[in-house]
Parts: sequence; structure tokens; C-alpha cells
Amino acid sequence: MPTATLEDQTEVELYGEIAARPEKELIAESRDGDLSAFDELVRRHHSRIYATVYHMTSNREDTDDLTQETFLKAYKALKSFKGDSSFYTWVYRIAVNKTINFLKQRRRKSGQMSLNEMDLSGEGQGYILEFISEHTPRRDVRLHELQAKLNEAMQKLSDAHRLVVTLHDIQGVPHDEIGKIMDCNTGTVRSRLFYARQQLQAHLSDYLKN
Amino acid sequence: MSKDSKPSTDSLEKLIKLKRWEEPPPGHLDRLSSQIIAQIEADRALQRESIWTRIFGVLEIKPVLACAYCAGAMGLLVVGLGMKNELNHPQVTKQPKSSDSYRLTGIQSANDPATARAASFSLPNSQGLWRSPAASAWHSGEAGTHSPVLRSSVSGMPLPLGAQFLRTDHSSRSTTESNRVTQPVNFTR
Repeated sequence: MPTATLEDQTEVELYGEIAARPEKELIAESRDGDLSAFDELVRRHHSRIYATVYHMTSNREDTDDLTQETFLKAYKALKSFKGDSSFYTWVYRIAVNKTINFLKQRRRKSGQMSLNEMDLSGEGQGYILEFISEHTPRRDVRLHELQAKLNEAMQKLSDAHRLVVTLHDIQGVPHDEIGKIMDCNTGTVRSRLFYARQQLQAHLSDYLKN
Repeated sequence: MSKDSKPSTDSLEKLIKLKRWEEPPPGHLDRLSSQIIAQIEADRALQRESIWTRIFGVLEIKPVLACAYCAGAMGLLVVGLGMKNELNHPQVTKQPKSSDSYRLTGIQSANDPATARAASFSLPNSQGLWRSPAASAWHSGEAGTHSPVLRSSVSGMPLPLGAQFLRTDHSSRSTTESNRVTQPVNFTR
């Protein structure tokens, strides 16, 4: 199965066929101080960055701050971006490092979760309802309870394991790109993912039994 | 992988994918990106103003330091103006040096007429670089035919430098210059 790189994936998924200006051009203009170019870069990537940070922190206010800090740091460090990796991977790395540092500081403060409401409109509606009706032992389970349980289980994972699950299972990032983001090899990514899934299965066993 | 764990893994993946639909309220990300750009602009403005803001902030706290800075700035201004004047009017500072040079040349040439002749060629022209009475007197004669060495009519010995002005033809010079030269001006130090 051919694996699309993250860059291709984002180009196609986020901007479609009518990809506006090339990313390199936007980066060059941003380096020269063109804020409109940087604004376009932010708008291209902020939803994924935001989602990743959110799944790591499970707190909207913290996610806002961390996403903002990530792009501010990216703008300041743009001159040091040499283009060895894609801009997306580079920003992702900044976000991940910031988030992990933040989580280290916020350790043992798990009572501050303010989860977003699930979006039950559009594409998500069918998926969620199908999942609840087919796989949940208690068919009357409330959606919020499921969401809370899921997030609770996620928060019990270590930062590295939660990050792998977030990037791979939620965001759909390929293993090799995760390796670049986390600065480790693909084997490590796979083993972390395996271990994280085992832990999640244990935490969510009530919801996974047939 | 066992048959039991496979459906469990599938359902786990589906369960985890539920989180994809946890989204912020509509428009939240747009506001966030606007905030990011606004923050960058604010940082830029702060950087532009920060130098002066810091300087004035420090000066307000420490008036002695402010006075020291002012004195330093005034000193630099005075030095700068002095240098400017010197560059605009180089003859003011060259005048005494040229006289000294002339005097030395005259003394050396007393023993060597050839050197004296050569020295007369090396003297500055009379177009205004040197305006000392000595230079004017020296150039009143023609270079090469006019001996720069003044000798006593009695003993034939070279006269000291000041004596030459008394023997130079002053007819072509202005009254002011004549008066200045005939005064007991001594260029020797």
C-alpha cells in the first residue's frame, strides 16, 4: 500500500486540487516579514496542530495558549527553518515539544479537563451513532460518558504513548512521519503504539467487550 | 494475534477515532489565527519601541545617569564640531608647523646651497595654503634664483630667521602684513 507523505497528505486534504500558493513561497515571504503569508500558513495547519495539542492536554484553554505559542515560536524561528523537513513536520515538532514541556509542569493536575463537545453534525454523526449502536454493551450509554471515559483512559497514558496514539490513531499520521516528529525511529513508534493500545484496551474493556 | 483480540483492536480503533469529532466551536480557529497575527504585530511594535522605552525608563529612574549621558552627549557634540572646523579650515592648524618647517629648512640650507634651492621648490605655493608672513616673504623672490639664506653683510654669517623679514622686499605686500612682519615677531621657539 503506497504511503503518502504527510506533506502530500496535507496538501491534498487541506487545500484540495486548487492548492493556492506553494508553501515554500509562503515561507520565504513570511521570512521577509509578510504577515499575510504567515497567516495563510497558520490557517493551513492550525486545525491539526490544535487537535493534536487538545488530545494531549484535554483542555481547551491550554490548547489555545499552546497553539498560539507554537505559531509565535515558529514565526520567530522561521529564519532557522532550513527546509530539511516539511514545514508541517517542523511546526508539529514545535507543538509537541511545547505540549510535553507544558504537561510536565502540569503533572498531577488532572482535574482541569474541559472537554469540547463532540460535533454530531455532518460526517461525524453517522460514525458515532453507528459505533454506539453496534459496539457498546450498554446501548443507552450517553455520549458524554463515553467521551469522558475515553479521555480519561487517554490521560492515563504516558505523554509519549498518548502522543503516538493521538498522531496515528486520531490524526492519521504515518509511522515514519511520527518518527520524525518525535525524533525516534519507526520501530519505536510501532512498539509505543502497540503498548499504548494494550493499555487503552485494559482501561476501556467495558466498552470493547461484545 | 488471537481471534479475540482482533475485534477488540478494531473496536478500540473505532473508539479512539471518536475523538476526531471533538472540535472547537465554529469560528474558534479563525479567531485563534487572528490572535496569533495580532500578537506578532504587537511584538513587532514592542520591539520597535522597546529601545527608546527602555532608555527613557532607565533615565527616569536614575537622574544621575541621565546627567552623565547628557554630559557625554555634549562632549561628543563639542568634539564633533571642533573636528568639523578643523577639516573645513586646515590652514589654521598648519600655519605654525609650516613656519617651523621653513625655519629648519633655512638653517639646513645655510651650509648647503643646493639643499636650500631644493627646499625652495618643496615649499608650498603662494595660492593660499600658507598665509604666514614668512611664507609670503619667501615667495616674493623667484625660486632657484633667490637664495633662502640670509647672511650678515658685516660678518657674512647666516642670520637668524627673524632677521630675514627686515630685509625682504615688502613693497608688494599690504600695509597690514608689513606691520605684522616688522613687529618683533619671533617664529623661533
